[in-house]
Amino acid sequence: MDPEIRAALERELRELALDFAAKLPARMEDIRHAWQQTDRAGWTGASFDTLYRHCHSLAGAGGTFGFDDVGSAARTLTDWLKHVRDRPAERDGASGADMLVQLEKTVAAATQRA
Amino acid sequence: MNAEARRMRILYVEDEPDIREVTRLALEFSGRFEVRICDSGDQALRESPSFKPDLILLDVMMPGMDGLTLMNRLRAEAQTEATPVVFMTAKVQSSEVSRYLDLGAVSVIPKPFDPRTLGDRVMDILVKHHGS
Repeated sequence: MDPEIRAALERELRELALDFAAKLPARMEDIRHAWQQTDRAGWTGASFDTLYRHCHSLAGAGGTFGFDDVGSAARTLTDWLKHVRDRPAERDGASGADMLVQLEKTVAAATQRA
Repeated sequence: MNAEARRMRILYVEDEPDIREVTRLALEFSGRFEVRICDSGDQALRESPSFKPDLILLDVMMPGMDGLTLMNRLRAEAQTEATPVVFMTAKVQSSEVSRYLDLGAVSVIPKPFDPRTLGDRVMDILVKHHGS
């Protein structure tokens, strides 16, 4: 890639990363809200699907925008949700809650860092 | 077909705006692709016949029509029945990758991905599929 084009791409990517970081608290709020809905409604159905999609989406997006720690924490929670979906009888609520708290802390730190 | 003789047309379907934007940027900055972006499977089905993509990039997990269903629907359309499909997904367990390939995808690009190398990666897939 031409160095000037490369530099322009880097500038654009930096802008997108800042924009992504600015929206992280709102994404975290979506996850928290979906978690509460799912906890009330039971760990299946539409609210669970929404929660899973939010976490899965953040797992993929975090690293793409340079927030590997956010992506990794979201991936851990997504894997836990996948296990809950596949084996509902084995759901360990305390572990899931810990992962949610860890994701919240990671998102807060990433937002400050940006 | 020579994959490098003209800008290749990429139909890209993704529901998440942030990922849509970074992917569009990565592909367009490479200077080798004409990118048509759709935010849903329904939009992709409407636009693919006139766009005539050389390659289709699909997110797997989308609300409404998911990527696998969309691939099957596109396969049923005359304009896109033979168009190579590549999935982009945060699910990268090897069993899932194998499943997508078995179902007819030509490749799977895991998320997260590096936007700086995405264009090269897509070009490699196209060259492999269409020939150099």
